[in-house]
Amino acid sequence: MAELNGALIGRGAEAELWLVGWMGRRAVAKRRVPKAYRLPELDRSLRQSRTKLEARLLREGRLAGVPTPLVYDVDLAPDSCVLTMEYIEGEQAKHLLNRLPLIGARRLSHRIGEAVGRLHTGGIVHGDLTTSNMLLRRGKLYFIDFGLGATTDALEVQGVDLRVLKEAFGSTHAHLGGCFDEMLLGYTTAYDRAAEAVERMKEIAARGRYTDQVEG
Amino acid sequence: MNPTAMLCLGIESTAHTVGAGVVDGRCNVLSNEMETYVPPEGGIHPREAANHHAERVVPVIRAAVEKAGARFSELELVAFSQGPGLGPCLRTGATAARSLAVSLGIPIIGVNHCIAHLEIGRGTTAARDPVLLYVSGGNTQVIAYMASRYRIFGETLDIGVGNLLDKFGRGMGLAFPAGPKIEKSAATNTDPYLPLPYSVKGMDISFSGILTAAEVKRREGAPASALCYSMQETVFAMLVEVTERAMAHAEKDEVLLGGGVAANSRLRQMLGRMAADRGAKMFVPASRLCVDNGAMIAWLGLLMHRSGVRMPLSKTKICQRFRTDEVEVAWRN
Repeated sequence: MAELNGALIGRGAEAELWLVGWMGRRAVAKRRVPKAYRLPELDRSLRQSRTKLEARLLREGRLAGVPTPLVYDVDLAPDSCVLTMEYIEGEQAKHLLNRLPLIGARRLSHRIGEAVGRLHTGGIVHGDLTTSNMLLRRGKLYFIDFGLGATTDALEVQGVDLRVLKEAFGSTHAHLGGCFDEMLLGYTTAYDRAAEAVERMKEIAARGRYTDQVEG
Repeated sequence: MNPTAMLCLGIESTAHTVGAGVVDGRCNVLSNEMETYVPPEGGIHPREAANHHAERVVPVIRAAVEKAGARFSELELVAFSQGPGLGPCLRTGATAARSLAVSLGIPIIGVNHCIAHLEIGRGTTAARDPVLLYVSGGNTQVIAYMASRYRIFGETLDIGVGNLLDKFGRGMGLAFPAGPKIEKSAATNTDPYLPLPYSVKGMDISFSGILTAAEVKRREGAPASALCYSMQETVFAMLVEVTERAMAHAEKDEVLLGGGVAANSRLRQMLGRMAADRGAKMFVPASRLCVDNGAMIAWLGLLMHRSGVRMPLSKTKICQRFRTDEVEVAWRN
């Protein structure tokens, strides 16, 4: 399988990220690599359907009012499955939250909450809400990597989304007092069923999963 | 007292199997006896399994001590499965352990069954810091060590994979345990793969939809061997995928397979291929140490005892929903 023409900038369990040129612009190519351990026909259908789903979620996320990278190209050739999208040259919310004065960090947390609320209102869950998947570029807060996302209105899945985000706030930004609550405030302004989703998040935490601390 | 010479007897009784094993402080398995309750029909009935265990636990313990070439008076510690598992079954093992500890005047220690699967792998293979894919009847978890606990990186949201295979097999008239029969039938298959629901949710998996879908295909006349083949290919791909995710996330380059379903050679092949492709290594303990067994309980008991854990009798209550990440892991740095 040919390498993409560009620089490898990341590798996860499922995909490689390449920095490539696309029509004279810088772009990110996310390639879902074939997995030899599973049947070729199963492998192909999984990679194709996930690539399509991610392209769709990026678009729907934007339509729901959350900036996401523009999808330039979707290539579903059986041995490649590449999603080429806008390269967002921004600063990760993870770094910003640690760098900004508390008041700025709170304001950013509020905006993160609003964006998550808009996604959930639009029937989208992100699936991997960490502060490294949010980038600030020229005042706009972009959400990236919808690879674990889904279209659903289910409170349970929204609760897991919040739980993962809480974990991120707790482990990476533990020193930021009140930021997670500020995030929830933003979430509440953007989503009608916020109270129910937050309640579900607490239930999920109490079940002992997605948590660093043993509760009870 | 020389800690490596210390003998521990472990008692296992979480589900179908009642087992006892003797292990020394170097993780030499001196004996590992077990007997498995096979329901006359259908799935496991906890009380009937517990009755079986109650009848068999004493002979199994005796056999374990005898095979180890030891005397009861030489045992210095007794360990038992405290959970997770079926209440009546767990109680049988715990009662046996308590009586033994009291009559021999030695300490008792209750251990987490899932962690025992991982520790026996570390103790008897070259794995040092693996991600464990633990696949059995009741449990399906991906576990790895992080920040002084064994954390669950992924798990089934409904039933265990062994349970899934048993239920699927029962629909086709295959007796418990159905896994080996499914494996055999799948190996003879020449028909194309039948797509079945593939349900990976982040790091978690769900099996309930696949059972219904396979049942529908069976009623529509799909050949048994094609169903077995497609079931294995789909379910094992799900398991290997979440394991790979956990390895990437936790940054580990070893994978350990444990639980009864670890006996399946197709699963081993797929997991091994995934590991090789990412430059990692796969380890599989001996098959009698993969299934539910007393030796692994004994070894974890020893590790905990040596790290200073002490349990008064009043703290030896069983815990049916004992979670892997509840245990403070004091024996690893």
